[in-house]
Amino acid sequence: MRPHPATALATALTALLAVAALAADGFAQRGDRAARRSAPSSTAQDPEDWPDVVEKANNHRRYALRRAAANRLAKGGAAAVPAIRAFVAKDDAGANALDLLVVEAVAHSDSAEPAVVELLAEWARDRDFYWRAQALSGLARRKLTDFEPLFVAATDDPSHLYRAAGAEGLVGLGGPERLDRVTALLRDPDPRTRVRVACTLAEAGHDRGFEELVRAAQRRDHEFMGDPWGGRDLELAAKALGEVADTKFEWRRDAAELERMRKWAATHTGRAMPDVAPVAEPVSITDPATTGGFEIRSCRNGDLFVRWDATRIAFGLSESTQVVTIPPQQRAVWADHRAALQEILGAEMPRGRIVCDFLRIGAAGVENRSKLAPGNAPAVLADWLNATAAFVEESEGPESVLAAQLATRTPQFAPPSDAR
Amino acid sequence: MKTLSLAMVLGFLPVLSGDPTEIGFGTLAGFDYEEGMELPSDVTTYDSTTVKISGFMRREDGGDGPTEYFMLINDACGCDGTPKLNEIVYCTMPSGEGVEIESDVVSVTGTIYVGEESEDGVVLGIYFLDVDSIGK
Repeated sequence: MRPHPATALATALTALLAVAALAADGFAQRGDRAARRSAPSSTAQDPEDWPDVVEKANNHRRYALRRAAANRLAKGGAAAVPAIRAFVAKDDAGANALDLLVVEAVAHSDSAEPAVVELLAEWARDRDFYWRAQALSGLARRKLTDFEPLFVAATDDPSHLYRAAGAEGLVGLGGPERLDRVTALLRDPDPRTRVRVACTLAEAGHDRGFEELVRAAQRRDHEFMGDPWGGRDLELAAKALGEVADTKFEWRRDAAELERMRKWAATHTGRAMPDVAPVAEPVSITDPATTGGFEIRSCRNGDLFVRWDATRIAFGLSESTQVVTIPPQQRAVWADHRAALQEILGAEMPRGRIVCDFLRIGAAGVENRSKLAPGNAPAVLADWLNATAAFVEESEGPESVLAAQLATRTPQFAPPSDAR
Repeated sequence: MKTLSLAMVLGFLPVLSGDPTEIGFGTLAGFDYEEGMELPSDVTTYDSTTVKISGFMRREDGGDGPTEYFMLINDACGCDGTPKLNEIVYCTMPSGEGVEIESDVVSVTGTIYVGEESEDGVVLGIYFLDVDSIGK
């Protein structure tokens, strides 16, 4: 029997009052878990106690407190550099012991003091430094012509972020020849580089990358193994265009807002702009029975995205995907190879401590994907990856670039040779 | 008062209850956050409500093994740059419960608290979630 309307209204009003009272209590207390989160911690009280600030910037358990300490280091400029160097010198990992927060803060600071620039340059030139792209971006912000050769070389780097940082440097220095070199990166095979280069151009007052920024809307739903890289790129693009337009384009994938963005770009440039309707991934690898994939993220060596099904192996993202077809006579062996991966991934494996580079791998029939730091793939998985490279080489021939990519990028995850 | 209020709410749950509200980082991070600002109503409306958010888990302290606390962010890699404070949901497990950091996207359900929390004069974050469950 339904309640009388007056009774239902009274009930609802009473409940609303109760909720309001609880909310007031809840806001004040946030439950007992808030107390557990906020265990007391200390920060350096003396702003010149740089070794202490460096320690906190890298090792404090609270992210925001590490960030605050990193910002203090950056504000310290040259005065903080000796402490940063000392921290690096005493750690076996060297510069790779530094938290990204520290490198970002120093890179984004305004200091052009020689000690700071020298530190950034060392980091940017260190091929093995995890955060070299961020350091290069820091040099780019400072618009120093001494580093033009570094910026130029960077535009050909395997890391998409490092290429984008090189473009940032050249745009900062300006001039038609430099801009033409940067414009070439608008045709980079990696869509993430293209968007970042287009953002850099837009921020510097050049509209030649607007088409790429608008095109980011088409890829807004693109993801790789659940990582929504397309949405993140659209956010960058919408913000960059919004800065130029002095407005806000809602990047939450509202079609009308994206159309507004497209129209503004077209009016501003006098050029037709790409459609903002989403486009599907050009290569569909979704058969739940046979699909699998892995990504290698490497701040040092660049990223690698690989997916497969019963008949194909696809490399790359979105429209830059390259497909290797498994020859019919190899497909039974390929099926056995895929089945072997299911067994490998079904076993426990140590992740290792992931700082930047990692391998994330999954396969049909295996519930959880595995994410591993370099040196942590069991020998059987390392062998599996090598065998996959062999499949690619067999399909494409000994000159296969894709096979070479697999062969050079996967060994860092193999166990140390003395552990085999 | 709190006990009485709780009883009243529980008594009328059939009127109020529903599934957790799904919210995404598009909403949570959809504004330029500056310390001390008045947070937009788009996000404060969720304060003290039960929500479901999808993202990638990351340990705040960089260690390994099970943890009672983790950050939920919208990035599998984290190499592009460090997340801003409105791009992080700080998650706390029930007392005594630890969780392994998953490699994949997870959906975390629980009560979210929206507002700046500070420690030692530093804003730690603006989104804090008491975890009820973690799913795929």
